[in-house]
Amino acid sequence: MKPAVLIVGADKGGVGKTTISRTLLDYMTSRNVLARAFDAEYPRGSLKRFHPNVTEVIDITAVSDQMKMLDTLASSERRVSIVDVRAGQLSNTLRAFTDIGFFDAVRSGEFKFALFHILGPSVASLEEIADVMPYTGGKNYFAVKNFINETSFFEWDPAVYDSYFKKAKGAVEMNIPKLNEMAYEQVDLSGVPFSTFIKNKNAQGHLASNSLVLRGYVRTWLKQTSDEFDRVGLIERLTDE
Amino acid sequence: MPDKMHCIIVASPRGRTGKTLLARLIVEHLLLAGVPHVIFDTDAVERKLASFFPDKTVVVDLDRVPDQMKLFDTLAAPMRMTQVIDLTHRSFRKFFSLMRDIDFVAEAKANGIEPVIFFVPDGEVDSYEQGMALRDQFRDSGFVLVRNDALGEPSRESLRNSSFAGFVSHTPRMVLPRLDTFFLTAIGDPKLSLSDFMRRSLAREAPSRLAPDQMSIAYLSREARAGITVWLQAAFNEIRRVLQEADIRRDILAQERPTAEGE
Repeated sequence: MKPAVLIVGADKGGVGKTTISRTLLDYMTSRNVLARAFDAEYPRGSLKRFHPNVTEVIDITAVSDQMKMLDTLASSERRVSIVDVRAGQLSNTLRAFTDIGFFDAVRSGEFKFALFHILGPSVASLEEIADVMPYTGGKNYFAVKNFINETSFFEWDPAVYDSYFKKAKGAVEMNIPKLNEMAYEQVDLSGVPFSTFIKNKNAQGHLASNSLVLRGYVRTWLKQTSDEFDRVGLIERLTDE
Repeated sequence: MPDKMHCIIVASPRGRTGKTLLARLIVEHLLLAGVPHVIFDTDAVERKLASFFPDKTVVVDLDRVPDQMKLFDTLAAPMRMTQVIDLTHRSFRKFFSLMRDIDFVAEAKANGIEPVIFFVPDGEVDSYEQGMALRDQFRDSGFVLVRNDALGEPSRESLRNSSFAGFVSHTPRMVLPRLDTFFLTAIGDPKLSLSDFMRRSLAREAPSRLAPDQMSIAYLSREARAGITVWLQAAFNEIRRVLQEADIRRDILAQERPTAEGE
């Protein structure tokens, strides 16, 4: 398998980027694909809190950190690198990647690439699509509607919505379903991957005392998100030659 | 080794099918048999079962997540108690979808608790269909088909239905015998302990020895009380028998599939 970079980002904050990165890490593990993550929320790093062993916090605007990430793609045994871009930095990051020549390398088949663009409920989110999508060359661009916090996409008039998506040729739409608030909070408090919470383990791998009901909610929800990644053929897209 | 504890779920997709009466009889049976138990009433509005056993019934509203946790997290916890759940038809779908999503059966079994569903169809086609779907969905749990005689015969449409036919050879099955409406009203007194009444009847105690909490039936004739005794005896026998059958069936299944799941 060729090294693959998955960028998760949005130009707006509070749309649940990190949640999507976490589900991606769990999904890769469930499909026996080794993955690592870069948390660009430097210096805080909320993704690192959940996946400390595979996550590195980086400042994506710093050249040394860009090298740390991109120059190790080919050598790392972890073939998939998930980059959780800080809110509002998606366009900048993509521009920086272009300047480095990353997308040229993708086009020449050196790396695989996918972009998960997390959409918020406002129309402004739809406008981001036109800014962000061209970088991907229309390939493996996922427009993710994240319902995890019951964000209602009420501002989207179907006609407006369609017009944006018609322009965005090749865009793949994804829906991440809502997770029960109490379950979400409990995982948040535990600070472990969703899959660990389901197995009733804590960060040290010891038996936890998570509620059976809340574990059930998380299990069902994670299965749904995993089905969604299956539906869009994520693994196939990353492994096809 | 002591018997496994049961998690008894009394369920029907319809209201007024005798669920609470059956749940109450099951509790009274456990009282007579000396089996430690805990009771859950899922009808937070009517609280009918809770009215009979106010001291040891937990009332839960399954529309609330904290109550879902109270119910299922308690049910699956390792404890040497049999659990009786009176499942209101309003929470029928919610309860079983939760039960499936949290893989309750596996969790309970791992803790030595054997789930048994007492399913009471109301005689209409869709209740047999839902019962069949339920049985297929929870193959690893016990499933008792209950015929409540008070509900009369199944509808003619049901008799031609494939789910109804699928249940014809189902075991374990039990009959809840019909009790005369007048007597039913008499035993409807929440203060009346049926197990206590039964114990006294079996000991052939004189009516004058009846406890004050049995006033609702104290004035019935000797024959009337004998009628209630016979009915109770039949109901208790049925409950005891199907619980045993469910255990036997479980043991046979466990032998057929020795590679039980588990981590």
